[in-house]
Amino acid sequence: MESLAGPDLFHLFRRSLVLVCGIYTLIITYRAVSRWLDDGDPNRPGQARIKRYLTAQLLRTRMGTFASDLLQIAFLLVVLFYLITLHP
Amino acid sequence: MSAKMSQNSSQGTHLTASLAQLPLDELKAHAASLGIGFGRDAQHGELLRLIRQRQELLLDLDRQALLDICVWARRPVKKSAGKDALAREIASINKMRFDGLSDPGLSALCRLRELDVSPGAERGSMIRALKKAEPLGKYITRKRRRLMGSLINKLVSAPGSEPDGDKAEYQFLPEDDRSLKRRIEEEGLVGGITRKIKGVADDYVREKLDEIELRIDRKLDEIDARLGEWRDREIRNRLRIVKITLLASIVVAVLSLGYNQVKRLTGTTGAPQEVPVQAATETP
Repeated sequence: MESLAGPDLFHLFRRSLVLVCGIYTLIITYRAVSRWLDDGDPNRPGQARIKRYLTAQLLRTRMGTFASDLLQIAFLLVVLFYLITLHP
Repeated sequence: MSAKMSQNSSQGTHLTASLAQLPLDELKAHAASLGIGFGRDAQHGELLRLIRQRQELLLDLDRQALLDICVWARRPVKKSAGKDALAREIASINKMRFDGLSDPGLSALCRLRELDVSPGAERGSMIRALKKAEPLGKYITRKRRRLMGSLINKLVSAPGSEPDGDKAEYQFLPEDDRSLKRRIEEEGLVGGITRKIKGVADDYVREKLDEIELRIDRKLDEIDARLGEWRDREIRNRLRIVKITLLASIVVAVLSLGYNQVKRLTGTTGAPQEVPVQAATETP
């Protein structure tokens, strides 16, 4: 689509932003998951034990502690979803 | 707590070694001597856990109740015997007639035999629970021995001639309060000193090991609490990052909406958009 400034730069900016952030998220997630799953290193025998302990610590998390943060995130998600639906 | 533990000392070569360092067979023997039931395939960790549970139970029980059980069963114990020594004697008691046993003693016996009895339970219900928990093999053996005993008693002794030992007043074993001089006189120089020093050393080492284990447990609890705080802090930071990301996304979405609105308003006026196209076609 042509405009006063040529091609729609903002449209291009949005697409580029989505692409870059999406790729970055995928890479970071893949690295975190592969690091977590990789416990076969024979030089670090205590790693599996630490991983199990950390898992137990995470499972002992009380959601009530973070209730306000979670509510804020839920509200922001609703707002974002609404804004997206407003787009033509 | 350490003072209470020092009172419960008892003789035995394995008392000087930490429980965790004992080999499996010695651990099994120690557990069996305390009257702990375990499977044939019980492993080191399981036995340690059971022994620790029994030690905590003994700390909770009243020493007088344990003494009452030994007096009722007419076991030879000293009045100053520790809880461990009393528990060892009680583990070998098979008597199932509970006349003469005090209520605290009965309650302690139920707890030592790992019966699920409430603290304020009635005497009758505790006795029923104890009898119900007796293995069938032991019950049959006991009945058989009672039958044989009554038969042989009738054959061997005249009725009423032999006094019933249970009716005589119970007497504790004499305390070993001999002086060092008397001990050396009776057991020799090396024997007398060695026994006294060994007993004191055993008590001291056992007390120190218990203190060290308590300290380690406290430190582990502290570490666990700190890791819990660290975990909460990390989760809070991650949630903050998520919120910032969402806010940024909302800002971009609002900008995008604004841009679309401006573009639509500019597009509806019509003329300004055509000028650059005409200008472009006129140029060579």
